[in-house]
Amino acid sequence: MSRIFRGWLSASAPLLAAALMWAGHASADAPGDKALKGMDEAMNRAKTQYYEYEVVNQEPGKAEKKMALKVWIKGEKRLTEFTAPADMKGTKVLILSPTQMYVYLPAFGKIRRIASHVTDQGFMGLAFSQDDLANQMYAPLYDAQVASDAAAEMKLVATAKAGQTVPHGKIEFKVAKDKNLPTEIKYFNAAGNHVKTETRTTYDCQGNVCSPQELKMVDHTKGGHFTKMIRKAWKVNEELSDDLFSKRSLEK
Amino acid sequence: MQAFAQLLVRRATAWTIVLTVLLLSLASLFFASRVDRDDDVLSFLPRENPEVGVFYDVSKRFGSLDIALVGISTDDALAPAFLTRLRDLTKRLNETDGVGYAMTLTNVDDFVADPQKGGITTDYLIGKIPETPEERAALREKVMSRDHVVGNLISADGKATLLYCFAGYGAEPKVVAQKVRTAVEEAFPREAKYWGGAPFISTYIYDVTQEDMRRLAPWAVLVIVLITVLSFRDFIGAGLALLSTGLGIVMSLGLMGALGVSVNVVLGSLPVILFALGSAYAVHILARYYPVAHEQKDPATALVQTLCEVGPPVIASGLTTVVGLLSFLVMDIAPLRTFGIFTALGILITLILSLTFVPAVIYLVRLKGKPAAAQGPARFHVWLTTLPQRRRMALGAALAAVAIASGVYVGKVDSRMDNAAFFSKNSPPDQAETFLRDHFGGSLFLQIQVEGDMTDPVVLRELRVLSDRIADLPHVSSVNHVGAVIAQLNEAMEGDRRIPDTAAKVKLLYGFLEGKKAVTQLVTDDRQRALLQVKLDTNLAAETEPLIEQIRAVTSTAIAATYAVAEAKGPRKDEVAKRARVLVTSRIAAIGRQYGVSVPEEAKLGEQLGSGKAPDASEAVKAALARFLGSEECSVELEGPEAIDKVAVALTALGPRPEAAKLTEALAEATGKPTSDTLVTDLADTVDRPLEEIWRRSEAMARAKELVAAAKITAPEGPKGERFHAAIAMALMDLDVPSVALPPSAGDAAQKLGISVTGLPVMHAGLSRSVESNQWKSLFFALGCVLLIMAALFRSFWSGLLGILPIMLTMAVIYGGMGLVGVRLDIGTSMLASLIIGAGVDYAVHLMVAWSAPDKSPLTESATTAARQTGPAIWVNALMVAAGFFVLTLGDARPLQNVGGLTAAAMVTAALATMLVIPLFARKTRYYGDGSRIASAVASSEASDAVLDTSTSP
Repeated sequence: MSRIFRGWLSASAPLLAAALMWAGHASADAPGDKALKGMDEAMNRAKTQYYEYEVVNQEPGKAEKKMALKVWIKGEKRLTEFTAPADMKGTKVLILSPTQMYVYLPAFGKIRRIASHVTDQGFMGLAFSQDDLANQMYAPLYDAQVASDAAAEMKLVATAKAGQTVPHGKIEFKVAKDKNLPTEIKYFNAAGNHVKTETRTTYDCQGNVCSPQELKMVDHTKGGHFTKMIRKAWKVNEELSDDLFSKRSLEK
Repeated sequence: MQAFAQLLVRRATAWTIVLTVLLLSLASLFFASRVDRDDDVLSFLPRENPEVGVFYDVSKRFGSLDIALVGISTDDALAPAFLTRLRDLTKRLNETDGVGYAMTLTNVDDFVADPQKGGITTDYLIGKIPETPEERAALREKVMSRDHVVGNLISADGKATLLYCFAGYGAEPKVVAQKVRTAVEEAFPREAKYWGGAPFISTYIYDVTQEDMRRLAPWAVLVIVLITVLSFRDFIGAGLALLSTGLGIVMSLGLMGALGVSVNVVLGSLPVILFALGSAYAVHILARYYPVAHEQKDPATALVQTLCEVGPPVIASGLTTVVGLLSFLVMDIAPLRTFGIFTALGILITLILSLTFVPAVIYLVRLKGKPAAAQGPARFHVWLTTLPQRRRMALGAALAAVAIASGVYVGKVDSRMDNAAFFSKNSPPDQAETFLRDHFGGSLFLQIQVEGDMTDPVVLRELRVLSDRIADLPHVSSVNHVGAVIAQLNEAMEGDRRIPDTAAKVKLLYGFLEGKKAVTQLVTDDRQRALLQVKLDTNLAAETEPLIEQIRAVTSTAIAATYAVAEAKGPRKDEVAKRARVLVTSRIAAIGRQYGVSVPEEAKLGEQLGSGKAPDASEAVKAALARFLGSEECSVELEGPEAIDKVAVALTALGPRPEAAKLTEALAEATGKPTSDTLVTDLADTVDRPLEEIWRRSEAMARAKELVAAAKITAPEGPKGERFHAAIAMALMDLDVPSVALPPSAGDAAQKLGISVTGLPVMHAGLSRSVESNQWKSLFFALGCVLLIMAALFRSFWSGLLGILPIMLTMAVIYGGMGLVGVRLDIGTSMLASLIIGAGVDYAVHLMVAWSAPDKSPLTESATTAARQTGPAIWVNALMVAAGFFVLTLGDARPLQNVGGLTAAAMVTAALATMLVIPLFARKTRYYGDGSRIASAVASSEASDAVLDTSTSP
């Protein structure tokens, strides 16, 4: 081996190593991951939000059921108040963290602290689980690949990051490229079976924050059981006092 | 008949018949391949029967028959490896299409009070698979402390677990059962598994029946073929007899396919039954043709003579069989009616084929005759038929004895129905029942449907008192109802495991039960109907039927059918207090049974209630208040334990319901702040209700301990004892209920509580009554019609009566035999009478038609003629049918075993009875024919040259 060549090799080795490291970094931040992060960012732009929803629940073979609720969101905190049906009216749920929940039951006139670890089930008969409603950040949990990329729509396939415990084995997103927001989310279980489909339709925007007018979740393992959340009112980035998200406010 | 016979023995006619039959057969084959299967066992329920109707409605409304149960036996159901597999299986099943909900130990919700932070922590009962010995021990203690879990999801010894799988809406339970079985087999390949619940049991019944039919039918056919070939000693003749019957079966199935009729468990046996019953006609024609053809040499002439002689009795016997089967139409079980119609149509088709296709083929192939056998079986036939003339008295006495003995045992036929009617001992469903009884208190449920407003606490309390009373009855393992679920949820939300006092609370709690599949078994979505699920530790009809009566008595006395809501502070307060005591004492009695603790009789308990001064609970109240004030549930934060203690002491001193002003003042004093301070006013708002609840709970606990001591009740030790005292305390809190249901007094607005007792044992009882009634109806219908046909054929009522005597004796013997060996009357065996009549009368018709001798001849001559002409056909047919049906006894399907064995016995008995009873009672030398009717066309020494007999006595 010539001296010149050895000199070149010793000089270029660090560069080669740096190039390889950069290549590895590039692989982790592939177009899919970037797109997923972008989607997360688009979904979480609002500082505060207020929604009013009509919830339509249709279990196969049963009569359609309707609920109505108001939701205030500020960061991780979420306050939900049921306004219908009459039996549930006035019931409030304050979520301060994924496992820290306070329920105010008007008929009981008191607050009940519920530390719930059961988040993967539908609650109150809905097709949405608490995980489905709570999870608005996918990139920290999933790696994504671009399955297709058309002019208006991109399809992402997300699988769990190594070492992450996630509610779904795989998720497929259809992302509207104009808003960078999902229009369809297909959930798969660990065995790879398609178990649920969520559609988010008719987005509208206030500033750079966009929100679907309707969310619909269909549970394919339960004979097509579905829940629709139809947005009736929506406010973005209005001032919401921290007191609103307090136990004391539940009693008022 | 002669004209018809002459028409048949033309080449063109014969070819036309053969080609037409072949074309029809090909078309039938096409349609037969389109016959669907229907394994809905529920379709066998006679819905016109009130008990069966209620069972059907309730099962549909609450989905009781859609639950598949899988028991898994293991060394330790709480071992980590086992739990991991169970959790994975549960998850897999809950993500399986068609499975509405799968519930096991691993996904049942659980909550525990959080003593530090307050409130509750909800998680799965098995939230984390234990890894260390300490974690394992802790988990075992936790699981085994859940009284509603032990005995329902895990056995008390921890060595067995139960999987509940609810079929999804519109899902086929059988398909769901198969998916569940596959998943469970893969998850637990080595453990012993037990498959219970309606989806598995109905699948088992259908599959084992079909499997038996698939496995045994070829053997039955082979035996029938062998007997036919051995009897005729002629392959062409034997083949023709079998072919015509086979074509009849194909055409019947084709007709079913064309009309869109599905094959069910009963209709699945149609081919075998048609083969057995339908082959008789061709057999009779061939059996007569051989000797006639041997004498006539010319097949055409022989055929005409054969048809003229045998045609009318073949038609008559065919019609009697058809009528016997059509008697199924009077039954109230739809699939049996369908079975009757299509089997009757099948018989009609084989009858027509035997009179057209068989002669046409005989004519075309010019089938050779054979001499009538005079040795061996033929001698036996003659000996048997002439026996009554030789030993009239002895035989008469013997037959009378048989009839009387049979009559005695007929009275012992048990028509009570239970699962033994559907599957054998040690069959998989039987093993599952045994497993469930041994580990989970039973597998059989009675259900009590209560109609009323299930959001009204007074109704829920009535539901509970009914449950408590029923739990006291023998053979009742446990009772579950929606009131218990609401009480459990109330514990999570309010802290007390009891039915809340207001409808608003109950309605709110129902909101949290939305979508809970297990709850749909207990209450309807509109909350207007509830079901008490009563688990029994027996499945024997002899024990369940008396229990049903006891439960009916309890339902009529424990709660009022009409009620009015009476307030504790209203004009009927004394009655309210009395009723409240009844609610409490029955609850305590039930708690005693649940914990295996002996408690005094309810009357004595009632005396103990409220006697003496209320115990002081202030220390317990203070401690509980301090816990609340320091917990995260309290929306007002107090600084430090001292402040908390001060406030707790001040609040305790106020009692349970202080005036608002006094409460504010006390809090102001305890906190050292003015009454207008936000902390004081907020605290007053926050502690208002908890203070009252804590007082009530603490006082109830103190009263419970006092009652247990005063009544000398030996409470369990340790944590179980704490749970026992807490349960008694919750019961005692109902002494102060604000309202109860009382029988309405004048002017009260009365509301109704509709109650109906149902469940499999009730359905079985109703079904057995239905089967018994069907049996009698179809029997009289068939016998009446057969008597009419026989009387018309022989132009004499008495001759007709003589014709049905053998089948009456046969039925007596067979049903007597059932009584003797303990075979019960069920859906399968209730078909016997019609089958016996259909097939058995066939022999009598042929024997009586052939019963012929010149006037004034001894009756032995008539008997000899009849035996020679019909003996071979009768015995060939009897042995064919008997052998064919006997093969079915070798299978696993209990109904097929019973029907197969009894029909086989019935055919041999019918043949024997025909050849003994008719000669015994016959008083004429001939019963049919005028002797000149066929003489011009056919000359035969053995022809029935009898004169048409119009005598009015046998």
